Amino acid sequence: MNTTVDTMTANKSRQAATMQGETSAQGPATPSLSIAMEDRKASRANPAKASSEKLNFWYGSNQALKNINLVIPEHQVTALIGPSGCGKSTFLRCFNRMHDLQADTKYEGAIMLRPDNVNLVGPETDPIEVRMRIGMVFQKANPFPKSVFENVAYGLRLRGINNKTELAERVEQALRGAAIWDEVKDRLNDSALALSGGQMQRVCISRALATEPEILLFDEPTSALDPIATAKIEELITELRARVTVLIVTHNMQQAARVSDFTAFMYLGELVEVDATSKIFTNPAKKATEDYITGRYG
Amino acid sequence: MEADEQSTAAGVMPSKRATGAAASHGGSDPLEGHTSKTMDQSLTELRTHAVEMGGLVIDQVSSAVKALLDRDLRLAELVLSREPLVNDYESRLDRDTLTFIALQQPVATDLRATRAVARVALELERVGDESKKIARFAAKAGAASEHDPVVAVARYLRHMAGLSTTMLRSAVRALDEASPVLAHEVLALDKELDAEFATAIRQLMSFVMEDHQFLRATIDTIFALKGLERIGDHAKNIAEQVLYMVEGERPGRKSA
Amino acid sequence: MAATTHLTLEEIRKGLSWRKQIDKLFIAIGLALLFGCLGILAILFFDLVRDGSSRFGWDFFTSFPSRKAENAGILSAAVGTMLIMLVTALLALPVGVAAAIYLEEYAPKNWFTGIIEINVTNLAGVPSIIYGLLALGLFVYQFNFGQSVLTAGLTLALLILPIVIVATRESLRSVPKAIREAAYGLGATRWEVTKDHVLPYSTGGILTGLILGLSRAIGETAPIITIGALSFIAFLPPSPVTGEFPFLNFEWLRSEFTAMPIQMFNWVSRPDQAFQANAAAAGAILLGMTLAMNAVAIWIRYRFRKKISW
Repeated sequence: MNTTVDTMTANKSRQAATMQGETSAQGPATPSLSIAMEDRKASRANPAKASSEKLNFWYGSNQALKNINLVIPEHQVTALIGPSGCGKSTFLRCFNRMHDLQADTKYEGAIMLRPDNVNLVGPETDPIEVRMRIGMVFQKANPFPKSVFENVAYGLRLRGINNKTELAERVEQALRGAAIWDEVKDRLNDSALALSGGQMQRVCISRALATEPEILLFDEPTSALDPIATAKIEELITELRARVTVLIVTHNMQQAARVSDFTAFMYLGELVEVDATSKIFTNPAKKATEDYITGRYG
Repeated sequence: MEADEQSTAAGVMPSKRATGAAASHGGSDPLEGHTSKTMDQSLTELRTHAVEMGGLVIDQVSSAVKALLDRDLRLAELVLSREPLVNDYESRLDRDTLTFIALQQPVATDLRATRAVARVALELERVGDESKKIARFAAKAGAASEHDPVVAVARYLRHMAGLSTTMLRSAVRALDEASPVLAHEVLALDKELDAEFATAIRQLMSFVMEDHQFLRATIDTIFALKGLERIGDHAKNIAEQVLYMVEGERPGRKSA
Repeated sequence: MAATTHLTLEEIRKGLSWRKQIDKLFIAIGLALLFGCLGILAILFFDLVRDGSSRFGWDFFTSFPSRKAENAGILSAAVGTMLIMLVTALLALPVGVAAAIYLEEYAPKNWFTGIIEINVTNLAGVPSIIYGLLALGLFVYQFNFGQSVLTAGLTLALLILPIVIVATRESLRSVPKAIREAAYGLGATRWEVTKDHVLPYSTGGILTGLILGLSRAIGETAPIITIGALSFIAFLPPSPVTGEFPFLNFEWLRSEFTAMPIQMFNWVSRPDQAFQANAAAAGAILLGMTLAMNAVAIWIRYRFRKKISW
């Protein structure tokens, strides 16, 4: 049978013939529903890029994360939502061992990175090594007070890449990847601090992308930006899926709805519910989730 | 009849939209051009599916009437077999518009467009039901005869079918192109359809007074005519949805 | 009328004008005190200049001290002061900066480092003569450096070390945490973060701290007297630069020396009135040197602050 589009092509004679009743013996073609109404998301599940297994975390004697078991699928955007103090940023920062910079923190359990099965929070794993494989973009854009070029190149220099041509190439690639190349290509040697807030944040994203991380962590990346800059970065995040796996913390639920494939709701250090975003925002399974996203906190 | 059909016989086809947000600021489609390609795509998909459903339903209507007029049993059964497809489209569009609202939080034109699509799907599904009823009538009608009420009003049936499918086609095109002009055309044609219906009923009444034999068939014929008139109304409703989507106000009513 | 906090416009205005008066009064008092102090300083300075005006001249700078007032000059004292400052700077800077980096970036936050931090700030308040005594016992006799430029430099370096450490720590702290996090996030080690991001932007503050320390050290008399600065020397320490390989020699470090404050004190204590002019002139010059160093410190801070805005 022909497809819907075929049926609907500007085939005047065919349509007119239908009107006048001179169709072929078969009758007009049946539109094919399967092609017309494909599901938007692939029904085949993506493999896991990382999974946290019985993860617990303490700041001193205060337990901030309780038994978190969460799978982060590869090449998908997973969003973490929840009220202030629920532990979403804490959880995010376990992935690149940022907590190690503070005294008196304790991890328990594991975050397994696939496919090598490295435990990201294990004491046997070097935090510097972890940070070289997992990138992060912070809440407020924090470019170094250097030129745009040097900002993006810094991560590469740390990895021993000092050849001028190679640096130039990879910096351009990273800036293109963050959809900001056209805006800064004539200003590579100007200070990164001279850019607007949204541009600075995208330079920070290219800085993180330059080192080709396996997972890119976003900690409320647009909370300090205006709607237009926010929209551009949200668009960028959905495009980044092809290159990296994304884990994003946001206190803006609508952003999570727009941008992510999977959403996890956390409350008081625990993981309450995780599911496909379309399910969470149309019909969540747990009442706690429903109450939070509809605004019934009281 | 042919003339009417020719003028809008370009067929119902999803208009070639400029894909990609960058192109659309100068383009003619007011519903494109979002920074978020996902939103652009999703909204376009919703409208495309509505248009596809429209094409299917138009086909159903004309096939059902043709089956009745030509006593074509096979065609009638084809229409009946495609009815679940129509319902499927409607439930899919219902679900997809809801998901779109939940995930993308459309406002203003986008929100009205989404609601228009959902309501248009409902209207089209009802049109599908009407054509199903006509097809059922066609399936059980026996061979044609002189005293057949269907034969008596055949030319009205044909004309009303033509008119209502024209209205449907224009209405769906209006949705596709977000065109208020086309929508107004549909509203205008409805009057003609209603007049045709009135004439056909009068004809049928005189037929019945002369010959009481085919009462059952006559009643069924009345329903067929009424069905076609209703299809016209549904097309009119679709056109009104398009006007609401584009202009933000329903014609003839205070703003919602 | 019942007690109410709602005031009419006149009531507001009346209360406000009184509060504004107090505001203006405070400004007036502050300005008066400020100009008072500055005025006193200015008067002292001009007094010195006036008293010593007869002796200003090229020969004052190039003559050695002498028993005759008209012939006495500050050559050896000035050179001595400059050499001592050089040694002090070269010693205080690396030690102070390294200590500050360790305390700020590397040291774990426990009771032990807490004690160290308290002591660092306390050291700034220790009377300078104590440093002199320490230096006398340790550097002069124990290590056998003798009564030399080296000993003086070491002593004063110890003296200004707390100033350098505190200033360095302040400027290290002024680098925002966000920059450090960004660098760590890219996989930098602690030293890379310090070297590439923290130190470059702290340079202004560090240099300022050093110069402020030096401008304090330049006038310290007690410690260098204790370690044996001479008050009448008619020679200069050997030149550090020679005509033959290796072009640098360090003999001058071991040489005996004098310094400006010593020379001034020596002249002032003489009964001969003529020497008062010398002392005044030397004092004016010393004050000028101090003010100049402070000006340099301010200029450096300004230059560096302009370049970076977080």
